[in-house]
Amino acid sequence: MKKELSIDFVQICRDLIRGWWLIAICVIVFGGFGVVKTLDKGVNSYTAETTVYSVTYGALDEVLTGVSVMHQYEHLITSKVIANKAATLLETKDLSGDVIKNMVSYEFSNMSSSSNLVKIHASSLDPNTAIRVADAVAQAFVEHTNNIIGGNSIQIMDEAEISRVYNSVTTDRMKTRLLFAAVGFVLPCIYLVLSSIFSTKVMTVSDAKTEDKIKVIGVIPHNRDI
Amino acid sequence: MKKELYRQDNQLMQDAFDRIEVEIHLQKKNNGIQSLLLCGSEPRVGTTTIAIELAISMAEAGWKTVLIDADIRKGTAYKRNAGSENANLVTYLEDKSDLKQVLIETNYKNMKYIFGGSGEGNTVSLLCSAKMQQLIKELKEEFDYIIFDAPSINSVVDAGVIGSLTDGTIIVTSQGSYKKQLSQAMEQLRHVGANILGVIMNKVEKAEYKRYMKNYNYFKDKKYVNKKYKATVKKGEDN
Repeated sequence: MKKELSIDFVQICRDLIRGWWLIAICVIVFGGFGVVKTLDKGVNSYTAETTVYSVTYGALDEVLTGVSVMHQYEHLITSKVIANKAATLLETKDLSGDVIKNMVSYEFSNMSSSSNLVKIHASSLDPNTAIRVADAVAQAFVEHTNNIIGGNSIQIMDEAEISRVYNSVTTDRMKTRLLFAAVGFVLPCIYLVLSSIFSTKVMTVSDAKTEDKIKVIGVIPHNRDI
Repeated sequence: MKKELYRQDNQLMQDAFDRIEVEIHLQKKNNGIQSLLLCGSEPRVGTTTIAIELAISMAEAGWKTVLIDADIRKGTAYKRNAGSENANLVTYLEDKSDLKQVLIETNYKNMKYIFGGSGEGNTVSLLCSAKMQQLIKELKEEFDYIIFDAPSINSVVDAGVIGSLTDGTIIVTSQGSYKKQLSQAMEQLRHVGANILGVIMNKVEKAEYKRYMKNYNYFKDKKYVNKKYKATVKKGEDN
């Protein structure tokens, strides 16, 4: 015999309200699990930034040469040559040329090829190391390029400063906790809705009515409710 | 001996039973239904409570009613309405007592009660006996309504036997009981040829009852109070 599946939305809402305790427990348990999972504070990563520029006064040729050299030799900032030179300037055993090379990045202050400002970044878990490396790399780059052009038009504008602190755990912590709590809310709701739809119990008057189309001749309220 | 029976002193409950009484009365008027069997779709759905309330409701309406405890398998210790050991349904069916002896007065004027007694393994043959048919016939002559309170059809076969002898059968179910049990009860009763009049749904939560009976508190809601009456009451309070 083919059985019809009827969905009673009022009854589903009632079952959801009746199951509030289950939802609350799941939200607390899952939310708590999310909190435990995100208890790790993570490690801060510091990025120091220094600015190198090409002077824009003096002879036009010299100015144009400085800007052109900066753009031509920009890739040297992240080269091993500069990294080794910076390591020499720092005089620290822990910071080899290879290590410094991996810490450094750069960007021009704007995308134009006529930009005369380049920002050199150095990232480290120690803010002082980041600052020292950024300064050393900038100095090494300035010396190297000035040697190439045989002048003094490339100079350091700003000493290195910490420009960014990044902590991946902090950024995602709240999101993760909310996600866990949301899962804790949705799962019991799905369970309650499905158990309401596929309930094998007589919960409404129509449940008793639809069985074999029998007539309901009386409905007696529960004496605890009156 | 007098059997003390009580009903819920609550207008909402009484109104619910009055509705069933009207339904049964119409069945009597239209189809000559006089003897009724009440049995549960499963145990503990409140069949005995409903049988008592219904019998009292009918007696209070002026109909001569007899309520029979047809659960003759249960021992006295397990019964809500345990009573006479010497004059009851079993002793009547065993020919050990006559109808006059088994009909017990109650605290309601138009209502009498017959205790069940204990059949001790002999129940089906007692209920299938010619004496049982004779009992129903004699009671029909004396009473307007005969109500049998039997155990759940899914527990024992007794309800099926009685259902085949009575004019109508009402199945009692309750909110939270199983649909499958209800279907099986109907199937079994139909199989024995019982005339199923319908289902009474017991222990319905207020929210569902309100959903079913839109104006369920008609006689209580203040919005229905007569304005003149309100003014009189207020005047009385002021004085």
